[in-house]
Amino acid sequence: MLLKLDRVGKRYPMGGGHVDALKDVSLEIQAGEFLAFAGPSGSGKTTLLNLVGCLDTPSSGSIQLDGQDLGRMSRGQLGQLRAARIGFVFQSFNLIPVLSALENVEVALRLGGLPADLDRCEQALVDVGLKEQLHKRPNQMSGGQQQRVAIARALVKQPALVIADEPTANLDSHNGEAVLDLMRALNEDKGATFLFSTHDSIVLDRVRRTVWLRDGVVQKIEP
Amino acid sequence: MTGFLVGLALKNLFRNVRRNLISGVAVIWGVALMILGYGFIDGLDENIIRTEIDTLSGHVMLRPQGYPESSLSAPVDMLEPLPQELLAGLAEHTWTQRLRFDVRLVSGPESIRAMGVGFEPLRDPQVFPRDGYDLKGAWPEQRGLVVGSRLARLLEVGPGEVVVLQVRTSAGSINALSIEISGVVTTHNPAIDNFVVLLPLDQAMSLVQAPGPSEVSIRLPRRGQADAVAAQLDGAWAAHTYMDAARDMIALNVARRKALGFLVLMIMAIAATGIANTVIMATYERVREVGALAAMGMTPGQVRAMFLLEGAALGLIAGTLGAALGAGANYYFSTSGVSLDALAESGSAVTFSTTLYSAFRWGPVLGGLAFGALVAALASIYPANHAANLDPAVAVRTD
Repeated sequence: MLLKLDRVGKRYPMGGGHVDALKDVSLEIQAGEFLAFAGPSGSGKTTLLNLVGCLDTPSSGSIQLDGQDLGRMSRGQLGQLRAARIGFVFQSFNLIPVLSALENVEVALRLGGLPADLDRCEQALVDVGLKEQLHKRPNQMSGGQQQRVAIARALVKQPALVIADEPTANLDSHNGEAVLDLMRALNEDKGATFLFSTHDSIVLDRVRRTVWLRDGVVQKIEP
Repeated sequence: MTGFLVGLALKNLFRNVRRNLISGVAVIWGVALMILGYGFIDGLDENIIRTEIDTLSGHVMLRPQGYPESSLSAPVDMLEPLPQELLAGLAEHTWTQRLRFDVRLVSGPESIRAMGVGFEPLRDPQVFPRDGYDLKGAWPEQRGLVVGSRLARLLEVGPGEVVVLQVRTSAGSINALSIEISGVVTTHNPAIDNFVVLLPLDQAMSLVQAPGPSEVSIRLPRRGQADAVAAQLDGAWAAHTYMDAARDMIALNVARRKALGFLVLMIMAIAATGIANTVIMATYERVREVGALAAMGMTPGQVRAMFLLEGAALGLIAGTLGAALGAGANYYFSTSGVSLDALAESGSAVTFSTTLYSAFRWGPVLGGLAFGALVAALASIYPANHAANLDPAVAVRTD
């Protein structure tokens, strides 16, 4: 099992009181899954994605990634874990505009403590169909191409887990479908585990499992 | 990783060239002003010292015990022949003797107070080189008078004309001498050009009935020997070095240095504010980017280093431009010089050369450059800390 969440809760201070963004979420995720957290705004899907992506720690309960308890880790240890084992694909791509596509991918290797292997970076970009765009900067590429660079950046270090936060939100439907098809193919070919946060039908139509959230509680899991 | 961070910082620097250039301008001016300003003050130190040595005191000056140190006072009633023991000590040096005396220079109905200087025609040029002097006429060998150029202009006299020297002798009586002007000299030292008349020592001693000179000046191969030679000769006559004579003027330059340092600090404080503002704007513009890097594992220390390097690189580039500007201007003024004739025309009795050369040294250039980079790096600490403390979970979703 890749991820195990046991009665996970997340509470944020708000005004004089607090708000419970997640309540008693228990979930098991296997390696190689292609899974979405779905639900309306405020349902807790982004909070859940932050927790499993080691960007935040739970207020209660425990999360285990490959048997390691994330709640016991310091901020630095979580950073090391993210660098080594987790890839991120963001809604706004979040590429570094002064670097080329190849250099953007290389950043992930360097931060992951891996050698800056340019052949490996180039192959990651070839895998997402950007063979001709290696040396272009983000502002010279379309939104769909930028998101492909972000996917290559997430996958180049062969992470245990890819966190994709609303990856189609800034893409038109055509590019959104293409990107999701690419992710699905990479999931099948390379066995990479993808976790999405979304309410986009393009994503929901393609994931193999959906965890529906409402008001911080798991409402249902499909199928 | 360090190389990667440096490369990224440099690339980020060119994201907003115009804004960074504006921020860097204050550093450029601050560093350039620092280099040029200190070059001129160092040059003024050297100017004062060199002029003192070359025209008035030599490296070491000996005077009778109790003789006033001020060059504006020249009593002749306390003079004595050169002591034998002093003559013996001088044998191994290049030296000359001079006699200073108060004199009134009369030409027709006009007269003016001046400082008379009796000099040894053969020895004097060995101690006080005349290379840079402008002379109309000739130096007298036995009889004749050389007049400082401004003094001659005020009295409207020139070579070939006859003037009268009125003096008070060592016995207190009045004496006068009708003498032909053999030359008018511009030494470029206002203390001489504005106030001094020179005549052969024997003639001067006869005029004021002095039993000996008022001073002996020694020229040494190196300035560094002055203290040792002065200590060795101090005894029957009091020995002083050129630094004793120049000390008051050099002390003024210490104050100038402090004032310049304060001015440079003010400019650099303005520069630091500008750079801090630029780096703060950069951190706010790149919140999502920093969040993404942090999410991918960049540590807070690395985020901090990235922005500090960016600020330091901005300071280094601006500092380099400022150092190039300051060094270029300093080099120009160290070879071409600046004319201070206007100061001399004001009637100054201060010893300095009317052509001021700045002192070009690499130390202030490299120091200025490093100072610019350091100020910029320090100014980047706060914004860099702000970026390092961003929460990646929030930052990656910031609009």
